[in-house]
Amino acid sequence: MRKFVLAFAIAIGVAGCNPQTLSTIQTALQFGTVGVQNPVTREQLYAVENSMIVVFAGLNAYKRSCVRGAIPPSCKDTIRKIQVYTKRIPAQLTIVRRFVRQNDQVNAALAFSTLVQLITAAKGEAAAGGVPVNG
Amino acid sequence: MDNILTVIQKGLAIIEALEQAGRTVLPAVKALSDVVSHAKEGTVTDAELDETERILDELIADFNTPIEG
Repeated sequence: MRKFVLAFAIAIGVAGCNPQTLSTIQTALQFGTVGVQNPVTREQLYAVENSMIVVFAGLNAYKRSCVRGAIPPSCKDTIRKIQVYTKRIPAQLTIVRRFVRQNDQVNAALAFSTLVQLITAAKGEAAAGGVPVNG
Repeated sequence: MDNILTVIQKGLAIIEALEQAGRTVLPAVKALSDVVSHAKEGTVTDAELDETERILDELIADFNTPIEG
């Protein structure tokens, strides 16, 4: 249990759902600074999607421990609140991917902004749920 | 570039802890290594993008599965 908490705390500290983490990812990958002057390139999309892989690997580890009962049952409510936003991500990702591959920069930037808003909202729910994110 | 390397550096630190915790870390390891490999612009192929998207979609679908109880 302690190992998991530590691992999760570190994992989420890098790639999870606390404000600092997502802020780091956003900054590192220029998540929130796309636009006509900073177009969403295939490489940016690739980097962001790889970062999201790390994020969701951490969230899934948290969820598995929740299902196993290894952490307090309130984790279920936290997961449900996060899912309100994460369930909207696939559709938004599809839109972003299509515009990026078509090199439609105006629409890609708009879709990207919406994606960032969803992630930010999920982050807020996670923080409000007291997910142990900072070790 | 420096920012990406910082993220990667921090990311690598989680792998050992995750392994100790018995977590499946392959998706995270692959993601981090892929970002390292393609940190330079213009080196991402369609196949690599497709594979990344397939893995991400699976992880998101997994997390979004309703939780019982």
